[in-house]
Amino acid sequence: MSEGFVVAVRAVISFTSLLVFANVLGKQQVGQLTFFDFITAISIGNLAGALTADFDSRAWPHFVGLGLWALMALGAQWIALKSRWWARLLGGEPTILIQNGHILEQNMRASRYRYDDLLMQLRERGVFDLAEVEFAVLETNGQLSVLKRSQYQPVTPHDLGMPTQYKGLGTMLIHDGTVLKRDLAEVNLSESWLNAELDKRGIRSPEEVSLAILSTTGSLFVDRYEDHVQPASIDDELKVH
Amino acid sequence: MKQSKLLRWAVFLTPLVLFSLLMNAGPVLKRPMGSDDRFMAFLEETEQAALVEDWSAAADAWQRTDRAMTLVIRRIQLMAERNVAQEIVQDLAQLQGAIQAQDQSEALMQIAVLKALFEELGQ
Repeated sequence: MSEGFVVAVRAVISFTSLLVFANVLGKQQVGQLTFFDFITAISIGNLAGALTADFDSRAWPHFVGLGLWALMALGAQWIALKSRWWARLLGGEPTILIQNGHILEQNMRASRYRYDDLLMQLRERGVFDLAEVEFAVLETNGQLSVLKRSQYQPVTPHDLGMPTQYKGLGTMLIHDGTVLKRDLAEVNLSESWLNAELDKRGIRSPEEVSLAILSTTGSLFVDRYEDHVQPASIDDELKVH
Repeated sequence: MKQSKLLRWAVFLTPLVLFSLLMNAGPVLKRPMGSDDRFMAFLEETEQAALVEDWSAAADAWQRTDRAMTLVIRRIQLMAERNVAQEIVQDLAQLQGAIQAQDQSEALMQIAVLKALFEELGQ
């Protein structure tokens, strides 16, 4: 029995299966995971590890376990979309820690949340003075959402009655030297237009371009592979300032 | 759009189905595929020889059984449990010892254990 060969094949099976299951399970960021999601991810990872390296049992039971965990997680996610009760059971509920400027000690205790945690997360949100806080809510993923009192909130163009332009999302037209023809067609532009724009910037071929993005205002951002910039180290930057 | 969704599911499901087939191929790959890998048949020959205490024939049959096991294990190593495969190798060695010592009861006992282990292997 060649253990190296068996590990190699099992690793391929495990890696590919994880790739499929991770893709099916969704696009949540690590920071958005609830405690239950976190435990599920650890369990699935553990099963994938056993599938790769546990020779004393067959690969199949681990694969079934892995598939079932992924399937149950998917099912739980799906039910959570339909049932608010289930979603609360699965991910918990947000807890108000500061209400109208008052710290709710009972909720702090129930969430096993320390004052140090509260102050730290407030600082992370740029709040160094508790008096600035109107509401603070501990979200189910452990993040703290903070609503500052209106007098401490930054002024927006809306507050000043200033007109603003639509920003929207830009469209990538060149990626890694390759013209994205489908995206170009979606914004009703041609390759000859793109080449003319590149020509204006002294670029002879799209292959010289690492990234080109067209903004909704019509301006084209182009980044070339050759930057003609001497990269400065962090140390140099610190010396300058 | 619908076609790309179908393609996406096909890309997801194809490897999973292939892996499932591969991991469950043990019982099929355990079956004899030539004249040298008939493990159970050779084990039966060893048993018959041991029953009539023809130790020379038993030793010959054991050689063929051992060779067959090497071939089978190589084939089903992806589906088999390491400890079961190791137990089979150890029991084969004990059977060889029993044949050399001309110990009929020990040889028959080892053959029975080997049959049970081979049944379990890769199931």
